[in-house]
Amino acid sequence: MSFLNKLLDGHEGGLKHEGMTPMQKIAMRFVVIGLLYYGLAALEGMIMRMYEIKPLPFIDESHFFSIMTVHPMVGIFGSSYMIVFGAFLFLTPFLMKKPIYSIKMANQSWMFIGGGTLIMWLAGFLFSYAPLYTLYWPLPADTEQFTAIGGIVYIVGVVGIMIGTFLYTYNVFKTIVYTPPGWEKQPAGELLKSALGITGLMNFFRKKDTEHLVPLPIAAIARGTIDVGLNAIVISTAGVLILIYLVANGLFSADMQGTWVDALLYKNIFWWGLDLVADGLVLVFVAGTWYLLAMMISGKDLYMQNVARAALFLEMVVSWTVWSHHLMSDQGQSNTLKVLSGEVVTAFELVTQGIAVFIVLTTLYKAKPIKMTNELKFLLGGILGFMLAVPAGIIQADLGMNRVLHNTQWIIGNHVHVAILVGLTMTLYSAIYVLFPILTNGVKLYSQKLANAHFWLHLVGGIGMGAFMGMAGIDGMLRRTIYYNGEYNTYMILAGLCGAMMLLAFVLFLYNIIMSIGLKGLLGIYQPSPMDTHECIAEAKDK
Amino acid sequence: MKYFMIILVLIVVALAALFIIKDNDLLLVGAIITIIAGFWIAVFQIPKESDS
Repeated sequence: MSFLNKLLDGHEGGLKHEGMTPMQKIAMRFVVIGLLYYGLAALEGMIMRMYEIKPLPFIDESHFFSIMTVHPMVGIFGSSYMIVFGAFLFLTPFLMKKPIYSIKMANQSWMFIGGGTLIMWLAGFLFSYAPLYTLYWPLPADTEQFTAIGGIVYIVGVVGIMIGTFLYTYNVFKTIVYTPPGWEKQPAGELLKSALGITGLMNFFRKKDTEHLVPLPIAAIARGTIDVGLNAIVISTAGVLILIYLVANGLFSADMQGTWVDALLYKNIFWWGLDLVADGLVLVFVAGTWYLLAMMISGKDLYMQNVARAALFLEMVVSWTVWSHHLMSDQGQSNTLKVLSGEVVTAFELVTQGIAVFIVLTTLYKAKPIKMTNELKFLLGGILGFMLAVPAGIIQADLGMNRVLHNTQWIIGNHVHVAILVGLTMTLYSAIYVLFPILTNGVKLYSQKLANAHFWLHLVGGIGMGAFMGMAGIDGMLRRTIYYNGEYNTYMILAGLCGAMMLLAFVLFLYNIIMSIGLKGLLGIYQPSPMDTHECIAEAKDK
Repeated sequence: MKYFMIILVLIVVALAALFIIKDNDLLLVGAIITIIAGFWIAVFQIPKESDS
């Protein structure tokens, strides 16, 4: 078969999209858009990496900073949220063994989040909107350096993302608790209590344990979804607040002086919301995904299931009280909050994360011999990523170390990028490799060699880039700063090379996936499914 | 619908709080607890809504 035929039709016949259920299509729609936004974020990242070595002549400073403004939003909402939501909207009905509550709502979710991300990105691309900290920095919204219309477009995009997020939240909880037509009445309240861990908590005080009505991964999905929803409330509020200032002050020149919101208060609330995702959600969703992957890969029950449930509940408490480590350099912030929330609760993440790592590794160890499949490799890579990035976070969440590391490349390098790119993304790749045959009705991977190359390039590139950025940070290189005289070029060139490895890894992965399913199959994912079913997988595959 | 209505009210409440609270620690903690409790209530409304 020629290259062109394979590109169009896929490996060994590729993806037959006519045989996909609406649920399979929805999950694939989320994942494909999520991967495309990952590619966009990676490209933006490489542009900035090159710019940090030598400013590029065709990009001016204002545009550089607008790329920097949208880069984390594209990466987190456009990519991570999309892939996670797609996987969980599929897994929730799959694991609960009942149909999803609303297929329509699930489709609206990816449309809102995907469309919202694009609108927000356009604010940077068209209007060079670049306040960097737009959504998590004290007001007033700046209309002197940036156009009000740029800001308004940005916020409209963010609101779109949050609407999609609320729809996702509703759909997940409703799927857990509702009674499908023709079914025996489901105990909605008890199901919700079990999913949120209240049953597990009450068992500590009861003589006789009540049975868990939902499987452990569902508990993790539900707990994480609570944090997603709370964060969406905070981000929506911040967005509306900024919108009020932009419209009143920017468009109508109204004097908002007397109505200014207290900057420190705003910053506290914003970081509280953001850390529900950045600390809590990442650890809750990731731990839940690890547990699920460990069970699927090993084919065995999870080691210490009860402790795992308890740790998930503990993680939720941590995620609600951890935000102050972002305000260690704010003189107005109370010292009690800095020490209790900033240092003590943050350090507790080592415990919750450590429990998750131990449980997953022991489950895998007890199941040996097991084959080193792609999903297992990426799962181990993901665990390694968090084992590097979490301690890096604990180090910087120390009042002494924070004086040295605050606002440097350390924070964004070996904490944020290692956590997201190595920890989270490799976990998501593991989930994608596990779900790929389930979602595509058994399509074979085009090349194992490309999958291996993807793994090593991503792992070495991700850790390397974070490490070299961190080294530059220790030497005093600030984040969000252009160094025109190449002061940190040794580190920046090395970080750039590692970044290029990761970009190459992604291109190889994308090529491998497209060659596996074929362009026809890929486009078919976005056509309506001919099957009228709410089931996750069609019973007869040749239907 | 109740879920989405409560979310809407929470956003409005949070927004109003930001304008009113200024730099009072106690009110800050109160606002965060209100948001958590409000969202919790919103989620517990989900099972009660009719399956349409």
